[in-house]
Amino acid sequence: MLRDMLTANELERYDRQIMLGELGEEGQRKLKQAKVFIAGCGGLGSPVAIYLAVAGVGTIRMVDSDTVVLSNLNRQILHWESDISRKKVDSAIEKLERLNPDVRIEVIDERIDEATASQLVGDCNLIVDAMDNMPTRYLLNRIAIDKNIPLFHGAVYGFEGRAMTIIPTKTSCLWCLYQGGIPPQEKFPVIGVTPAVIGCIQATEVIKYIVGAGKLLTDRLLIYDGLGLLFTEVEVHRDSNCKHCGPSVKSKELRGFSHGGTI
Amino acid sequence: MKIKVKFYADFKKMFFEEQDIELGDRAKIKDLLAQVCDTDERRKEILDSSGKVKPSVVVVLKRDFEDSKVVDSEYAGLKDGDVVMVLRAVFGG
Repeated sequence: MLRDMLTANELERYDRQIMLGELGEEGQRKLKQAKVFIAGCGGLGSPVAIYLAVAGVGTIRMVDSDTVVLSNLNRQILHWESDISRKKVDSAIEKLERLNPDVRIEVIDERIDEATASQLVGDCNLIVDAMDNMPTRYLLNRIAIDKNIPLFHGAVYGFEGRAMTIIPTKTSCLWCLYQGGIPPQEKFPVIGVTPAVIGCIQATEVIKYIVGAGKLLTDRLLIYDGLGLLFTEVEVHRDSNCKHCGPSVKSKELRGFSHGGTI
Repeated sequence: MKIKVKFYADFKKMFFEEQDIELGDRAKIKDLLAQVCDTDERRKEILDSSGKVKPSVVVVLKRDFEDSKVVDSEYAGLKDGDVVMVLRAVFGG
């Protein structure tokens, strides 16, 4: 379609990544056609959105119902001092549109819950989990499986971060890994560089998936230890009795992009 | 045999970050966990009321020349030099 062709401006803006053999103009067009859902505009959502916007992901939909407060500012880099008391989605769209006017930013000021999640995700091709609580993360896991679209999980604590990519019907999911466990949900310690690293890993995975490059972080939990600068991979097998992705879940044809790389 | 045990995220404060534990030759994961869960508080975090590892606790075994794998049974045997990692979900974002 004509609207998916790259303009002269886009060819120049993305020139350095189009040079990559893994991308090319074809890959750049795929990024332009993509519609990405980012759950959360906070510590993880900020770097994910920034890097997907500058990479040229065509449509980025961000959902968050929070307001910016001072204690967000050590890590939520989409929000600045002057944004305190603003809705995070309003702050986010302003910065992202200025970063890259060529991409479409959609923001929704709404809480993601059982009643709203499916509709909020809508026809997006994939979900980025940038949430700050486990119940909603598990909900997103289930929604991704129901819609048969990938989920890009990330989470942080202090100098430690985790990431994993979930491809429904093909790989292990968040429930296979954590079995629905919910640790005590209190104020968590975190320094900005941690969600920066994990958010960038999530954005990397999203780009790889869309353009069909590389080996995705599937059936593997990546544990990042910022203090020791160590990355550890843990194999995660699909649980045949998984409450979310077990045999009772009907197989659906993956819609949207089919990843040409390695799962 | 000597086993290295590593705890992650909020578990570090409750237990420790990393320690070498001495165990008998035929020790299993459950023996290791029994040794590190040496207080009621620690036991409550890792084990359920019947003494089994809680489903939400992820125990990972790293052995020389093998990939790190999630252990699905506390009866899994240990070898000298194994590294056992204990973690649960983190939710920060």
